[in-house]
Amino acid sequence: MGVSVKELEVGDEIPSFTRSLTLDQMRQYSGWPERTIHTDEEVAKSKGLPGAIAEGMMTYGYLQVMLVNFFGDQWLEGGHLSASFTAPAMPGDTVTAKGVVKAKGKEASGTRLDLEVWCENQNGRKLAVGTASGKVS
Amino acid sequence: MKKETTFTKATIATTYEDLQTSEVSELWGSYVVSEESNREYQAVLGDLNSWYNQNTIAHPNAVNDLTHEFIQNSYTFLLPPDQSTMHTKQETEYLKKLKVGEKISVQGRIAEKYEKRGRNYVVWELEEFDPAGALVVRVRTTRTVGKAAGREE
Repeated sequence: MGVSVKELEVGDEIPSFTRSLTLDQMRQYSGWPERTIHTDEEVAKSKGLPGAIAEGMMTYGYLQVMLVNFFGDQWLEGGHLSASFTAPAMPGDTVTAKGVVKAKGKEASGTRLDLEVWCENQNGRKLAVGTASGKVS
Repeated sequence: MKKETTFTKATIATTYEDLQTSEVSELWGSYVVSEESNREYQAVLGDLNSWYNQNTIAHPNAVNDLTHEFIQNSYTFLLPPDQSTMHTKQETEYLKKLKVGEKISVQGRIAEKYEKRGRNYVVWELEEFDPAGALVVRVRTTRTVGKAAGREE
């Protein structure tokens, strides 16, 4: 973690995480050669979508990578992430996971940060929005 | 993506109307995060943390994705061809690190169903336990049922 929790205050952003999304990644994640709206352009279009869309869990995964990068393995013991999927990520998108400190508090075993988190694409469109909470000793 | 899940709950074909909420969880099955799947989840998400494999800790997205399999495997919704289900929200609380190779048991229930702005929503709650019986993860996942494909929240 490059930024110290102690240095962060309410309103500060934590280090973001960016990923360029490809159809190959989506297929690897979602079980190609199974043809679904997450792996196949034609199947997605037959369902009224503009093209294949990434699973919401991929977007959730980018948020988790950002949070683990920041909190370290302590995220996995006491971390909480809640995210709503507001728009699909699609092949060719550059997805960035971001977070802003909303509250900071001392606990017996460390400092807890409550964050507003989101993923956005290269156009600034929000793909997922939510909250996260983690603790650092 | 290699997945190692064992489902004990039978798949049900149902409509939104016939779904029943429950106060009681039932055992849905178990999963194991292998070293191979840990590496695959890291690679596909672009996660460069080396300590997952150094410390044989299960990647959180492996945990979440394998948990999601239980929802997808257990319910087949009877819908017209132009409709589908969409995953709209995910909440996860991590209580304890999961280890690669550890068999995690999953219990679940339908906690809520509701209509909002003309769409039907179903909320599942799952609890996951390590081999010693300790609660390690809590998950709450929401899907629309019968959402028209391509529509967004």
